[in-house]
Amino acid sequence: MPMRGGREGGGTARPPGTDGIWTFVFIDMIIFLMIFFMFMSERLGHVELYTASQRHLDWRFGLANTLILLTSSWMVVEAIQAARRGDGARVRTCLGWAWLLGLAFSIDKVVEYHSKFHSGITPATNSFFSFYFFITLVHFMHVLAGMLFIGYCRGRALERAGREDYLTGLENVGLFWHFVDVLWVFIFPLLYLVGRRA
Amino acid sequence: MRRPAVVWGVLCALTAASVTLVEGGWFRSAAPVCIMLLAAAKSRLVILEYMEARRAARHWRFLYETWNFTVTAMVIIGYAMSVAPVQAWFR
Amino acid sequence: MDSENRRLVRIAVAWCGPLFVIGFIICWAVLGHNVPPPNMMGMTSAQLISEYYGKYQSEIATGMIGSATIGMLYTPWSLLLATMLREEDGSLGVLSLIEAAGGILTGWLLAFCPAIWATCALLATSVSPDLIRAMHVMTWIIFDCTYMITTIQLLALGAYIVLNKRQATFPAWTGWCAIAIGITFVPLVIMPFVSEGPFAVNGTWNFFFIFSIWLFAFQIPIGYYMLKEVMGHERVARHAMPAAG
Repeated sequence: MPMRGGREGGGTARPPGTDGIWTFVFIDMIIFLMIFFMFMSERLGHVELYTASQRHLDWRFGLANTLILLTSSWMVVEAIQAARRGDGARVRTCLGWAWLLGLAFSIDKVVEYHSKFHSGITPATNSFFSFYFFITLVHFMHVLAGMLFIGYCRGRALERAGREDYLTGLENVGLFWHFVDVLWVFIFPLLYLVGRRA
Repeated sequence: MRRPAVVWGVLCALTAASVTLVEGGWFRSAAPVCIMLLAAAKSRLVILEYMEARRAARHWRFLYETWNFTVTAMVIIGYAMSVAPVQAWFR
Repeated sequence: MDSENRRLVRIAVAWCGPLFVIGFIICWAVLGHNVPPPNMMGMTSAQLISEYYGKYQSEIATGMIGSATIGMLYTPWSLLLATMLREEDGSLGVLSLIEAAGGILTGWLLAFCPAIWATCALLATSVSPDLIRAMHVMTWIIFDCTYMITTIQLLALGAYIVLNKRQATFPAWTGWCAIAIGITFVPLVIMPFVSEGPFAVNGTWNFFFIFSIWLFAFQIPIGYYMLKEVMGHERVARHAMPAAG
């Protein structure tokens, strides 16, 4: 059953998602804005320390995670467009890939944390690493929550893909997942790239 | 090619450009600014194309784009203030 | 109790919120010289006495005893809030009870910890500095690291507001804010292990940020909507009285 909304769906274009999720994501954005502000202001007081500590981070982990999340976001977009067409099987496939990519991110993150702990680097090592662990851990919690929601939607895709309430729920999950992606778009350069060659 | 796939391709290309700027060691002082501008461009693409903010209520698009601008500007300014010549100028 | 007295009691309890905020800022923050608190993990016992307890002994003692009284006002305020989080059948559901429990525990903490800090101030010049520092550090770790008592209160409140679309007392954004604030307390777990940076006891995140947003994005807006609710009923009751009479 073809659904309303979106470029692919035809018919009247309903705004994606609900007001609630746009509100929640915006509040979450403000929290991260404060975190980034605090990071930059602390960095100003300890530039050499931050630059030296940054070189202990392997940018390849960050790059891999960026590409993983970008691809995962693409899969969620495909899933939403499939849901608008009522194609439950494709919704399930795309959300499956999105979830697996989230799992890949999680494994990559755990491996990275392990390598840090193995090198004796912990959140108490210095101010930079306190922020590194705090920022990436909070983001990781968001990834895990997103995977939970994606898994829930995937489980109901075949039976509910043609329903308006399912589509709205999926759009909400998609908004949250794209927000997780946007966060990492900034976290990667902030922690791994900017100032590295100073 | 479908639009989401094109967007994904552009996002990956911008990501590759960011890493090249750092690892290539080009324009040591300017690289961080360019990297953040690339991040802002990527974020805006995700907000407009994937989140479909163009179709959301106007105030949401405005707030999300303002956030994008604010984060980018804040990091660029923070980085600029930490660069040795700028710090010396302030002293 | 008749409805008029019930209304007056609710109004009085609602005003405990602003009284708590103003009183605690004066007693704990200003008199207690806690903006920011001394960086206990980066100080020796002698420094803690010379730069804090010994230096401001009478002010801290007075402020902390005042805080021990004022702090408990948080509890009745939280319980009034719980009565506003009813299920559709009028009963107090699990979210309301969790909010109440969090409010009771937080109120106790806001009174209990200042009482110990008052003890530290009063004994600062008569017992060993190491003992004072031990009591001070222990109390701060209790104060900060039991953050979950407030987090569960905030999460329960936030969940109720967000999930109950029919309630009109609190706008949705206050619910989302409450959830976000509850989660921002989590980095307090780092506090005991660091002596500098944003997550130290006096750090930009673990002190300035979380206390500020707890005040401005939870205490004040929720308190405002609670007052609006109880005072609004007063206006409705006054208009109804001529008809009832």
